[in-house]
Amino acid sequence: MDLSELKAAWQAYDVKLQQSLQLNLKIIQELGIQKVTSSFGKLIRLKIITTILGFLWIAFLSFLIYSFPGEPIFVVSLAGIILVNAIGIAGYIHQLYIIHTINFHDPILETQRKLARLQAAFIRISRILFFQAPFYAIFFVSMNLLRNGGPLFWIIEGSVVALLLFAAFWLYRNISFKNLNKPFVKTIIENEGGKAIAKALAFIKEIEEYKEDLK
Amino acid sequence: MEQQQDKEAFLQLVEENQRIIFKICNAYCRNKSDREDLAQEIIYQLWKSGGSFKQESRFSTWMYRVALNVAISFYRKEKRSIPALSLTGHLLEIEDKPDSTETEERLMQLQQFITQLKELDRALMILYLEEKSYSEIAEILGITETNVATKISRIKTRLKQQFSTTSN
Repeated sequence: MDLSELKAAWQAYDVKLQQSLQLNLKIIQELGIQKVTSSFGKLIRLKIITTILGFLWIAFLSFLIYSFPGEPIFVVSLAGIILVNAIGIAGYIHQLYIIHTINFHDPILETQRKLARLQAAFIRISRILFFQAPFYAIFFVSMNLLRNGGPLFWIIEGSVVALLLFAAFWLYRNISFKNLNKPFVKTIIENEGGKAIAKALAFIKEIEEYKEDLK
Repeated sequence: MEQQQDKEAFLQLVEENQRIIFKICNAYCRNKSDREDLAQEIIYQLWKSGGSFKQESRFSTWMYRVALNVAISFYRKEKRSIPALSLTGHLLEIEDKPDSTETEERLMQLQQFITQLKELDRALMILYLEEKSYSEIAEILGITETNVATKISRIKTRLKQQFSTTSN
């Protein structure tokens, strides 16, 4: 079968549809076009809700700092958590802006690239939130504990904080477009979020290659 | 009143182009349920994007862009969400008319070939089979005409290899 035969088959398909396909217009009216919930709409609502929750969380943490200013480590750790969440929220707002610019009537590669980048960015922002983990490991440390904790406390606490810091940096730097072909990256991204980012990043690469005039 | 006229005009356009919508849904969906969901999504986006259609550009260009963008996005999602409305009946109804064995076989080969292609090549192939010019295909996809020609040439080669392997 060659392309001309394929075209002939496609035309036969078209003739068949002409004779047998019927779009149920009544159902379209039933859809109440303006009220139907599109999947894209759900994405926007989810991001708006997450952003609002983020603001509320920051507000709550700020209240705690205001209420308990006496413990410096507590204040610093909460400030760190607030900073990370603020970056996350800024990322979400930026994504909402990108969503606003996506139009399905734009050229296909342009639209699909934006969608894939949006998906990848969403998960990257989620990974930025890992940077707050070390702060959760220290917020409970009082000055008294710091002075009297002893070597064992320092070893355990230091190890936990160092491990969490390393994990956060490593995750952010290594789960990236460039490292997608590395076996250890592929192994790590077994979870659902990781698969989604891998697919999105692979599709971005595919789109970039598609645009090139490769001979 | 104006909104009712707009809606009627839209429904007429959708009816005139229903075959295109069906063919795109069939190319990107494996089962009937997904086809229905995708068709709903396409029609919704066509309605929503209606205001963006500029009279100086071709209607088909605009429509293919919307429909294919929705189809590719739908295809790439792993999870399908439950449709928002439960509808009575089916959106796309196709009468089961028997075809000759030869026609049936050709249609099966056609379907098999198209579903093996990646999302973007699938879109390109649909437009090519719909006898769109290289210029319009390039405009819809957002690539150059040269790129369109190169890719079609590659698909031709692949098709030849695939069917010669099948015959052997």
